[in-house]
Amino acid sequence: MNMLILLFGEFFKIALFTIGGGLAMIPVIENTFVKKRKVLKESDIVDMVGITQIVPGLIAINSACFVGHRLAGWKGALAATIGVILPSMIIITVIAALFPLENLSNLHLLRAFQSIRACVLGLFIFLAYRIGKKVFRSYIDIPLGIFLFCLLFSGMSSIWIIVLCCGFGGLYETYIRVKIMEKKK
Amino acid sequence: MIAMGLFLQFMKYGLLCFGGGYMIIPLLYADLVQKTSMLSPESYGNLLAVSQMTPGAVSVNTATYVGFMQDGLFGAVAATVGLCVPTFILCVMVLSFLNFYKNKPWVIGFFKWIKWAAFIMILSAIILFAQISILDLSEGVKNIKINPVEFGIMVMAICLARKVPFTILLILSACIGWGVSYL
Repeated sequence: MNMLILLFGEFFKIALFTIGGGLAMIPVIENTFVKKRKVLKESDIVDMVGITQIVPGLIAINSACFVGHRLAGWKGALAATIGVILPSMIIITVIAALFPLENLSNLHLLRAFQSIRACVLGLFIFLAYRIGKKVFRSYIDIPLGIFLFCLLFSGMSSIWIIVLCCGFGGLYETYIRVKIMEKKK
Repeated sequence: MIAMGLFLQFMKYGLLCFGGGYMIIPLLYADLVQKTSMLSPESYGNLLAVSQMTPGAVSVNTATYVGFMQDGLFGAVAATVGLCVPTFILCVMVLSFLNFYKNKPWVIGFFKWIKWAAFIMILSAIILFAQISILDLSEGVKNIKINPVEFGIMVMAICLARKVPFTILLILSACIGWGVSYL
């Protein structure tokens, strides 16, 4: 029981004081559970980052699930997940209630928001560069990227592009493995 | 009833956002702005900016905001829980069975290729944000202008993203925008 309260409390604090989403939380989680509380090892954090890549969903929730599951089974995962979403819900509910998005008429505020959007755009370009470095490995990847991008522009739903990528990847890898097996024979 | 719809809608997003929450951006854009035109592109951008600036996971913030706008507190809870439920269930399942599936070829292929989807999704988020920040589309598609101030802020954000915490960048750019509006 104590462990559940600890998980809930720690993740509540982490979510409350980390700005910038799940990626920004990983070092804070490491600091809290490895260095301060000493309940996880450094290698657990490596596994945690691996899980965030494998399971669909938000990095923050994945990380919370992982730490909770390691320390106290599925109940721990639940406690940590609730802890990590509760601060967001409280803060955003207050903001949404006080600050209706559609009725912005203040010129200065509009301009400030436009600048913030430009800044977010900069962050996305930076992110795309980082992901792109992992994605483009050989020259074959360039026409492939252009093809997928054209699919997006032709009005294909993003959902189908995600399904297409994953489905094709799975089939392709299975096919290659089968070929290798046959050659060995 | 709206809350139930929100719950299912966000469950779908929760299943689809691999490798982090920003994958939700084009999905939510298609549903909120293009299909139902509940929000204008600018308001959607503001919503995402607010989600970035407030503490916590960015897409949890977005889900709460969208839910609250549609159905008050009920909607906020329904959307957020809906977003988290698939992740939670899958995560607990994967943690229990991971060692068995880790080396299956279709699993390996799946995760090799998911990077492509992530890359394309972030590109579409870039196009979306370019339209509502640095590009001036007020005079039609043929006469696109680039807002110099916003363009400068974007370049600054790209250059400093590695070194400066993102919150500081956001506050800085808000101040620049606020200041420029008085000129």
